[in-house]
Amino acid sequence: MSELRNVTIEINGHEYSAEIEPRLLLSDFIRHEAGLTGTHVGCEHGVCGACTVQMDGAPVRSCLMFAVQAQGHSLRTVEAMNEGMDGALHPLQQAFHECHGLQCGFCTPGFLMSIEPILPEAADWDERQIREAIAGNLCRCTGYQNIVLSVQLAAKRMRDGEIEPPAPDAPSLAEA
Amino acid sequence: MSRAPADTAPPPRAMGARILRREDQRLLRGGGRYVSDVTLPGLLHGAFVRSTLAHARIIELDLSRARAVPGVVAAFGIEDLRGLVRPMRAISRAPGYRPCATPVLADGKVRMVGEPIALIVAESRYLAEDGAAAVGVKLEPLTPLLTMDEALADGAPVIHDEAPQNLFNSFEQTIGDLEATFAAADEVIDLEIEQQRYGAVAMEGRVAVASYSAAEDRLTAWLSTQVPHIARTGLAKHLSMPENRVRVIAPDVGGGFGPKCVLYQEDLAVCGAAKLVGRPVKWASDRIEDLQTTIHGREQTNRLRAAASSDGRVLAVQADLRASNGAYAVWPYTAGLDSGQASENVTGPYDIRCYERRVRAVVTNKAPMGPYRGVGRVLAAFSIERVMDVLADRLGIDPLEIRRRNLVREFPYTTATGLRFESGDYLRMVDTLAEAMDWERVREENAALRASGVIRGIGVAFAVEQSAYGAKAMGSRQMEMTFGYDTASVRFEPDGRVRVAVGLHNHGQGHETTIAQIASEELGVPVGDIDVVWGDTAVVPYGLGTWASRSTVACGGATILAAQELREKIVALAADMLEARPDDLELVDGAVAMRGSRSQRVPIAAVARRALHEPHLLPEGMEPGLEVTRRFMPPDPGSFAAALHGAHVELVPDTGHVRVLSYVVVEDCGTVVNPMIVDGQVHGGVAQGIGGALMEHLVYDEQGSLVTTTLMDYLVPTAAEIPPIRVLHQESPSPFVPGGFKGMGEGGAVNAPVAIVAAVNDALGAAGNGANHTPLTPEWVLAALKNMNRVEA
Repeated sequence: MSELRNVTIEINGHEYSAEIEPRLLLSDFIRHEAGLTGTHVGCEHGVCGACTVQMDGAPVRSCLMFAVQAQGHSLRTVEAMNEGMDGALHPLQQAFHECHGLQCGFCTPGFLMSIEPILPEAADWDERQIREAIAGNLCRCTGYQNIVLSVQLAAKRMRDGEIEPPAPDAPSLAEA
Repeated sequence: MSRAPADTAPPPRAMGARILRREDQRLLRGGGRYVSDVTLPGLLHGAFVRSTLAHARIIELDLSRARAVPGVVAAFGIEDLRGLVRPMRAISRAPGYRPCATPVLADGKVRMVGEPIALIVAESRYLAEDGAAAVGVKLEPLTPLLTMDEALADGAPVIHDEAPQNLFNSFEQTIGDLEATFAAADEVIDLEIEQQRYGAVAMEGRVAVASYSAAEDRLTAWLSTQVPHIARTGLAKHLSMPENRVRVIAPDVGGGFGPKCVLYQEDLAVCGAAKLVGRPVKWASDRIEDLQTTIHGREQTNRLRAAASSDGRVLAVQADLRASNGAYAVWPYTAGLDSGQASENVTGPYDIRCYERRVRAVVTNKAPMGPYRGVGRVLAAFSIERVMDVLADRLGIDPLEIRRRNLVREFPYTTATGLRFESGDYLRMVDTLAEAMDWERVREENAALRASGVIRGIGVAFAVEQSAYGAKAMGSRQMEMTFGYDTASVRFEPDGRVRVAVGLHNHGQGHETTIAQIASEELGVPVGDIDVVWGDTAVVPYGLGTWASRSTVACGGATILAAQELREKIVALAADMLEARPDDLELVDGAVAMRGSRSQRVPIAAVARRALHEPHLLPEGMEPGLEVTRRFMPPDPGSFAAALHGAHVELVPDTGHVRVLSYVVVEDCGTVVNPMIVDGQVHGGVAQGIGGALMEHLVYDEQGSLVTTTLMDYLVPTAAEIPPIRVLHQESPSPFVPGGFKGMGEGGAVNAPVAIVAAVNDALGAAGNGANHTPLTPEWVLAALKNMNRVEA
């Protein structure tokens, strides 16, 4: 065990302080020190993306950082995604719900955190571009199809206002 | 979307509707509760010391330095747990099966890399790993047996004394006159089919938390399991505790796909540790542990012979199947799963009356194989579909036409191995796929494109899916316990809301929604008023969990039976309240009403209140309460869904990559409860199948170390590798299942590797002597392209 350090990290607008070992991963700080278990750990080597959170607005893999490195930064996790929306889901969460973009739900918070910042651009992307853009997160349940639909729906909604959810057998909104 | 005014619209039907999932709300908000989220006062954390050798004798285990590491509370080897935790021994009394023991921690010998040797328990996972690093283990290497040929060779060392010749299992069966059929055949096809080892790789690894109260002698275990009650039975048995003092909670589970059906050594060790230290203990596998030790799948070969007539009918098949089952047999399923299920299904959806199987489950120094989505059936489909493509190529018949000539046409149909396909229309599925893929035109286009150097191919795979095994089918395996039923307990609360408690487990399949749809259909209560609970042995009746595509059939069936019985009581009580005859009443829209009357009705909530809070007003002799528990035994040997997959691929000449251009699935799972969820299951299965066809491979080096221990080495498909998948439904309800359901959770993963291989072989113009193996790696494709160019030149 090495010497403990005192860190304070802002997560979702709250400051969390703890005495921690320098080797403590940021993902473990978020989950076990701050108690925000919506962030999941899938591989702890930066491949699966399940632990993705936003640091100063940009997605980062919280398993690839030490908690001490996040001192002085502002983090956002899935729990705060619909903050200020009066209990309703964020449009991306709502699109995942309507398009069946999740099954077991384990990878979902990471996808949401990764995708949210790209939504403004994604409205103009074709399906192929969306697939490339989300290829940094792994999902083992959905085969990705409905995640792609969710991104299309959320991006278009946020740009154009309300549109209908896709028909269940529509392979792609972009092709429709 | 325009909607009809509410007063004229018929009440929306729950069955068959695209109803959005109830479980999404918590999962999307970060409110899912997985086992690794469980925290308890005084919780300790475990880390395992694991074998670095595939086969070795343990000369020395020194835990003293680990015990001295700051923060370490305890360290356990086999001697510390021997009196507390019995070894697991998966039993089958079927002829030819040899049960072998799995100790909770390695006992004198290790048989695979990753086998747990010691458990360190500390104040944090970090400190537990410090302790694990301080453990001294001396191993004396033995010869590792990594291939089936090595394990079966004369004079090979024996991995388990209980399994001479390194065979868990060996049996043969002949149905029909093989010799005469082969002698008279116009065509004989010889193939050696080989599938690599790959696996489920759920995004959540295995996790266990155990808490023991010595004062009460009660154990509570949170496990990331698909089978809470089977796990409870296993914990009670191996910890020698009364089963009514053990509780298993399996909350949200981050993907199952089969391997989480098994009771693992780590589950028992964590429970044992919690008993010994008197504090709760958690262990969460890291990804390396998960890839090394969570059940693998698929590694099988099939030496295959088929006899056919010149008009394209397959008359007889002979299969010699071998599965590399790894070092241990999984509890309670045994090591007979892969090879057994493959061998039952080799004749596929085809009318082939003459069949011989030789089946061997081989002990090797690798991780155990066990349940993984579509156990064994991938090899079966691979085998018979390759026969069809080779025969089509030889006779110059279109691949769809050769299948038409062989498909089962009349239902019910009982196969040579005794599988009963209860209903279906397989020929129509072929027509539907041909139309959806524009089969003729694409084949012509592919041929035309070849001149310009574009190499494309199209291929199909047809397979039936034995879902929801019946009790006799399971009983024939003569395991320690026979599965083959499941349970639903349906009850009204006093406010008229409904609670359905089921024996299944929900880890992505959307059962909270579909079971509510099924109950809603029977009870006339809105889906939103029905809560479905599962996953806690203290809360739900004994059930057998979720695997083998059984839940909608077994628990859906039980839900219908319970709801129908409940309905009778509701109607009887409402008849008394309305002073009407029960026959004149119906349940609609949350009320019991006189047929054809708008005014004579009583809300179900009032009926529930009468049953639970106004017992003094009940009819003479009626028992208070509205609650029924029923169990349903699916038909034997199961309920058979069917699926036909078509893949269109392009080979990239510079890189050897296989690009999947389009993918179509025609599937028939009987009555569809929720098409959105069925499609989602198909998509996910297909993605795993494409992974298995092209990239997923658990690779061992020559010493028996797993090389693919990270997700950088073990390649799970990303969104970029998976094409859009079109799913078309055909509904042939099962006449033997209430509701007409057939299970369909696995099929996507079964057909997909086979369809991809068929398409690649077509692209190479080599259906006749194409690939009989997976994965089709870029290296292999490049070599095949080179070979093709040489032949064409």
